Amino acid sequence: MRLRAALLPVLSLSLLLLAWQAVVWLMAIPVYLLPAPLDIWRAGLEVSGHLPRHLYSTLITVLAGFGLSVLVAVPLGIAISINKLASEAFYPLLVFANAIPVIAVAPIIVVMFGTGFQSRLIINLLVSFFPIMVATATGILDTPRDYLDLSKASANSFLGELVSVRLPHAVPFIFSGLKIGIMLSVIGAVVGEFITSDSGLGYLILDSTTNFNLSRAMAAVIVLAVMSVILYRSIEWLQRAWLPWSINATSMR
Amino acid sequence: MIELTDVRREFGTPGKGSFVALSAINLVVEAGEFVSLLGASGCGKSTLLRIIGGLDRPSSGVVRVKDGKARAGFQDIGTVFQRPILLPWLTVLENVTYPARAIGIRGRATDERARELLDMVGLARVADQYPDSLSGGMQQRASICRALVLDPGILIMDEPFSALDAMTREELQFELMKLHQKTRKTIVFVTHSISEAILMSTRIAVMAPAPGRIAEDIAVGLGFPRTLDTLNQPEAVRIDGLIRSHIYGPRTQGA
Repeated sequence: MRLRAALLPVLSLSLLLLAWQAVVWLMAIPVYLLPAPLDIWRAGLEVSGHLPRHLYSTLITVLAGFGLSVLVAVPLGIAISINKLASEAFYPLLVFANAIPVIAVAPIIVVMFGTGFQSRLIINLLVSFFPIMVATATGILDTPRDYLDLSKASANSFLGELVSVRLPHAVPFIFSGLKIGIMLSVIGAVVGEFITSDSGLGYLILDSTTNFNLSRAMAAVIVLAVMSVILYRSIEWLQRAWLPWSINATSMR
Repeated sequence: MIELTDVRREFGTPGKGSFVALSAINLVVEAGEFVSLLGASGCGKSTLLRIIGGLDRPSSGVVRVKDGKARAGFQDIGTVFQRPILLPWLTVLENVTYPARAIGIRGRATDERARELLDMVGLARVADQYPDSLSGGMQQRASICRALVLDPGILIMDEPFSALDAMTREELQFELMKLHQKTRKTIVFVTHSISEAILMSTRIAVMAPAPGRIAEDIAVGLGFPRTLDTLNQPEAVRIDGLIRSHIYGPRTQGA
């Protein structure tokens, strides 16, 4: 079963690539319109000397932006879930902030904060904080009445209840938010690099397409996607390693 | 020990679709008694227990526990809920010591006491496992240990055995009776099982619905230790008939 589950996707991908290669070859599509898999592979090898630098640059933006996002979103999620006043005062604003397409405000941010790392960090934060915040708040509000009764019967303080019951219960929810957040962080990093950067995979894609080098652009896209999947899996792995009890109910593979 | 005077509990706004869960409850539970609150669902027995435990407040009336006002988290009361409510992120041992840690007591002495309790109910070897690997009966046993960890003088239990299979239930009933005989803790026990109430209690408060009230307060004149055969004694049969007449009223008396 496991072997089949591992082999089938490889097989279907191989068939797809083969068909793609055949179509491009048979219909003689020019490489500046649709590069074949082999063209992309060759372009990838060509640029492979520079890839680590771009990959590193994007990865730093993603990790820093995501880290900042977690630091902002989790406390904010806790605040709006435990305090009705905070919720009423800020939640509508946060929904509105999230509703603004980041692509639209990115140029404004660049004007305000300059063309450096800072702007990319802020763009990243704006894209990824919301699902993490909502997941945290949802998890805390979802705490079963039974748990709260137990906490009350045990003379817990408000803080004790938050730390010993509500937050642990919210952990699986928070991790769901983190998994969505890290993917959005990658998108945020690329948007940032499109707008202002001289390195990173997003920059590489933009630079390649302006030179009609679609093969290289697609090679960069693939590296980006692989990075994204590895980041997503890393969060799953962290959860499994540190908080195995939180897996059962919510695991999504 | 526990004293309820004219306790009334009303849910919702008076007049507009309010619901009187409890009305004119007067009940005194002396130290060392095993009092069952017995009744069909909807007669307010769980609400009454929550009020004693401080998880709910009466709309009017006075509740005194050990000469103080009832309040949530009173350390001399141990609470056993209908479901085990073990926190899945804590080991069995950590769950048992939870009430101690909630009030800032931690350390070897508490752990040792928890292990003793777990050993008493036959759970010593699963102390360091997580609760999801335990059966329902084992989980409820662990939750009883949790209620006992601070060695409270009073134990309040809300249909603690109702979700268990018949055999486990019987086993736990006798374990609880043994505990009561040994420690002389005051126990208030909510149940809807007539035989369970007769088997275990020194006194039974039979409750009736709409509005929830105590219809009859019956002293159970049966000695300890009790066995399943106790239920066949004339006194047990008499009490059984008395309770049924209150719960079912003239319906069964005519039939």
